Amino acid sequence: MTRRSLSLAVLLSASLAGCMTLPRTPDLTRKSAQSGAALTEKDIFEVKRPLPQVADAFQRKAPECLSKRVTGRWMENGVMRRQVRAYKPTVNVSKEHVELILQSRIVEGSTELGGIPPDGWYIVVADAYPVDRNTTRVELYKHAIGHSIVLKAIKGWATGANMGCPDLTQT
Amino acid sequence: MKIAVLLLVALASGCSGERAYRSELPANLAVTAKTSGSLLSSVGARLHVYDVGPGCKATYRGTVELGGSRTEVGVPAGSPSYLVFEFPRFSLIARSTTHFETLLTPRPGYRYDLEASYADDLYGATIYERPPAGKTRREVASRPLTACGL
Repeated sequence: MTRRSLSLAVLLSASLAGCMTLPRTPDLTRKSAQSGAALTEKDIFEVKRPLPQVADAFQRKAPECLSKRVTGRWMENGVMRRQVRAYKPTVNVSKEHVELILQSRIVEGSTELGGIPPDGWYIVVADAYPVDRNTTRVELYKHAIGHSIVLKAIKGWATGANMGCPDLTQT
Repeated sequence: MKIAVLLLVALASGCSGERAYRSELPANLAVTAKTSGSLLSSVGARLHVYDVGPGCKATYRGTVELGGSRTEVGVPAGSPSYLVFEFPRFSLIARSTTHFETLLTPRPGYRYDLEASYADDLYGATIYERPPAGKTRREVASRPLTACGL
């Protein structure tokens, strides 16, 4: 069993046990990460780049890197299992705020319970606000098992230090 | 797009009659790949080349195995090619593959440097264009297959 499928199994078990839920709105992702809930992560920092530059990076890289379907395969009791997870990024841009939202859901191989939104749970939210003409404050929030590499990638896009895509097969 | 996805799926499943990319065209792409795995895993790099026809129909032409050294290949100038970098990752317990795709329409006489990389679970490819007599190069933005008619 891969790290990914193990994570999914743990996630499914925990969900079925009713001890956790994944966020159904971007605001819930922000709030749960701000409160330090389980499975959450946050990273808040400033970059010496104007907001439009950060917005441009998000608009360019999000569809290129995050609009993906990831197939996981593993052996279970001698049977090869297969599961496909779809990711959908959305970038909203205004003068005072840029947000990058990443949704994710399983589309083949098993069924997720719990009133999942049409395009999936809101697992990552990135907010960017102007501090001054040349400085932008970036707030990254995650509420999901794994996926830290997504935050790392978005941070690279925001700072301009690394424009690489996160390998979603390793989350 | 659907055809390209089907081809990718077929490639991934290893049943597509995958073949080495061969071309009599003058080399206009110089491809390098830098990959790094970990103690327990290794990462490779390959480049799948597709011709793109009317309606953004992609036709598989072949695969270039990328090692540590620079590889030169020729693709048709003046018409779009769909380039799919594949990064297969092998570990003791699993195998996974991730892709970076881009459309490229090489200009006649121009040369292109394609620099692919995979490190620390981040991957990508950057394309630089060099004019016929120029020494300076400029970065070319990646484009999805659906942009073939634009």
